[in-house]
Amino acid sequence: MADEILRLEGLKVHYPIRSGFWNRVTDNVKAVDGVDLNLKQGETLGLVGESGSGKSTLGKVIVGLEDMTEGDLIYQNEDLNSAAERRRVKYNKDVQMIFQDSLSSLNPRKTIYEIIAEPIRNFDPMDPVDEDKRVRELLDIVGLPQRTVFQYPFQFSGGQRQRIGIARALATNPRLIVADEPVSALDLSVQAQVLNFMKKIQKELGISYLFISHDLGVVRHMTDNIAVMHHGRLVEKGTREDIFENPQHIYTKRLLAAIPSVNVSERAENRARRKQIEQEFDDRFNEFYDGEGMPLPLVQLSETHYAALPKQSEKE
Amino acid sequence: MRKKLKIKENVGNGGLLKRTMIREFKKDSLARYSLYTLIGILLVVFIGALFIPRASYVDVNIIDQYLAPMTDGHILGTDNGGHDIIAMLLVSARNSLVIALAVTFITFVFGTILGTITAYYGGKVDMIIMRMTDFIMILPVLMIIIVLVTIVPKYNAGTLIILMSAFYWIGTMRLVRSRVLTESQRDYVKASKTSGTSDIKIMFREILPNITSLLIAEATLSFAGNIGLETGLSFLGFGLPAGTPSLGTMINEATNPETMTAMPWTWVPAAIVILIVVLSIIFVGQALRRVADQRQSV
Repeated sequence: MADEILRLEGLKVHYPIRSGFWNRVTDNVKAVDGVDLNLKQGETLGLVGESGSGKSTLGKVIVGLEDMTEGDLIYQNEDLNSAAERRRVKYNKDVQMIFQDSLSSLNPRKTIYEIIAEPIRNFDPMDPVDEDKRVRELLDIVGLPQRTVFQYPFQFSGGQRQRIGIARALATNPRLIVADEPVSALDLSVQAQVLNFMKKIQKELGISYLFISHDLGVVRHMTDNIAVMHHGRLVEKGTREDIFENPQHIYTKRLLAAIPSVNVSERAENRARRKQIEQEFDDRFNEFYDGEGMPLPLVQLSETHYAALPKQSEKE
Repeated sequence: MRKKLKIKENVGNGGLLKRTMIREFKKDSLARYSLYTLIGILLVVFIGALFIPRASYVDVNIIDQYLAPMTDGHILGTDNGGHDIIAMLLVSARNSLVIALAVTFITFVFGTILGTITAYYGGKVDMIIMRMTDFIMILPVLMIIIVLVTIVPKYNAGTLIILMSAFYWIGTMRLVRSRVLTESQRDYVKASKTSGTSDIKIMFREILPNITSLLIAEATLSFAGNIGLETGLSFLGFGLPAGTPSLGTMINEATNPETMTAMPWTWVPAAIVILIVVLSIIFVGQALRRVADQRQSV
């Protein structure tokens, strides 16, 4: 069993809603509401869910772009809940992020060299010759030609830009990379290229990924373990097989049914099946969600498989 | 090798802004001629004013008072102090422009820094600074400046610059704030944060270079505004002190009905100079604003 590198315990992110004359806090948006997760060295954890389910917020908390309201972030057995603590241990040297929009994540005024060298200069300063060597090595790793080093982001295609983003994330030899929908802005042929490439560097460098996506096909291709998020809570987590072969929660079933199938001859059946699952989701919503529409706590089903199931189905 | 490559590529992008500007000025001939006029006027004024002795615009010479144009070698005539109008124009225009430039510079630097900081940090910092600016905005600024001008002891050009700057940085600040607000939401700022770059560096090395064209346009247009402001104050008699002529004090001759109708040469030239300078700056500024509005990043 590989070592655990990151653990989240009861993580909550609430955004206050202010209203009224005195601008008092009247309510909270519960973007993330009590999430427990752990990540092992070298594994890929997929985080799926519909838009607004809080998966991106969770990713941002992990890289430190967003503050948590409550809970613990434990990185290599160290509690790193505040930004000051994270800065002290140079947390972001080890935990990096790949962004969804490759264009807006690269400063249009900086050359590729400056973009990739930025984390190196901050976390791992070296003399200019070594720095130059390292940047060129990174370009090599992501498969971009050396001559691009002094070009600007707008001179690249989407797939190339995403690789530049990956090169920047790799610059400081991180142990965990949070990939927030890294391929959803790319067309399909380039998606496969970038994904396979991410897998390749994972094998070579032993990086863990937290792979945030709403595209289950991509998740199935990429991940070892999957956590399904809905309304800021996990509704099901387990290995890839647990989730894809044996989904227990109605929301997971619904998400899986939404994967488009290209089999034309079975179109009618597929549609009927999808309809039926939608129907089941609507009918049994009250069983699986509490009075406020929040998912129930997770119940352990097997060694790896957890789901937010109601009490009675546990007995069945 | 690396240095060489860098220079070559800088032409490619540092040049991007430059190229859009050149294209904009090529297309817009009004802006192009305004730019030529402006450069011409600035050169003539700043070089010409160097050759005019102080005595010729400070000493009063009653005998030469109100000479009509083309008499005794005074091509545009003289004013009520017997000063040659052309000499007065050069010195006044220089004074007015220098003051407007100084005010623009101070408000620009102050407004940009404060606007960037307040937008970047947001939250409480933003709340406090914005409430302060709201307060200054509702003040009757012109009246306050006039009152302060009259009560400040040892009043001189420097005081006027400080007084004007103290109230007119709000516009720049609000504009910069609005742009930095949108800019700081973009992912490259987040990427810089996760790369461990400090806030100061992100603000001034990452965000500001991306809004340069807006800043240039804003500085140009506020320069035109400040010329109008200074000449307006001087016209009212609360601008530059006696002994430092301004285009506004020259137009002040027109407050006397007799000189206004019978001796137009005393005030019309100054009015024309203001008109030309301000209009040219505005036309140039509009062209620059169009450059700023184009998405130059892609």
